[in-house]
Amino acid sequence: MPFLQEKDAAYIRTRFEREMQHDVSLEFFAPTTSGLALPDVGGEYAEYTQKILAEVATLSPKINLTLHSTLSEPEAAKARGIAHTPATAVIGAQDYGVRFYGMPAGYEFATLIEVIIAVSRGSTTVTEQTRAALSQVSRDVHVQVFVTPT
Amino acid sequence: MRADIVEAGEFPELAGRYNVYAVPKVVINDTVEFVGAQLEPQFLRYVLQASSGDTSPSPSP
Repeated sequence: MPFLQEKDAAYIRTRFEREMQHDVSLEFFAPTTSGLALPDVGGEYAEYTQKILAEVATLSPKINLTLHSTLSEPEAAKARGIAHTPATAVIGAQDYGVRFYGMPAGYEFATLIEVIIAVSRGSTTVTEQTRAALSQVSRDVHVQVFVTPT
Repeated sequence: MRADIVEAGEFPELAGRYNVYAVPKVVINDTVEFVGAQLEPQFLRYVLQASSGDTSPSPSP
């Protein structure tokens, strides 16, 4: 059963068409990606996340979904700095460092759509002033935003 | 700079480590944290504070 209603899918498809520039790769990481959920490792969340991403990927030819098992491909997870699962790395013309941990449902689904567009364009609505201040930062900055779907 | 969006309910250990009782909660470099949406200049101030290694509480906006 599709996760999105047709009118929502149509709206997102139009936005992607109008606003996306570069291709975006959604790299999904879970212990197993075969649909055989392992008990006690968040298997159900991972399965739903994978379904949501698969549906989003159908909304634009510029979106590619790749599935990685952290059990059989630990080096792939390491390369993307994946700390927990389920995880989704949103990669554009370059890796801007954006990761989703957990299921992008509820309000966070809208966040996922905005992130895909921002990564695709390689830009955000951040002001010139803020950009200038951030360009002076030499240390690594790790921002973690804790959210819930409601 | 990297940004993680963490579903608090799915990662209770992580949420517990950072004392997440309300969302959205933002934690920068494990040192600077705040709850709720912030205007861009204030958000920037928190980022700069975290990147300077200064962990003293920041003045209210």
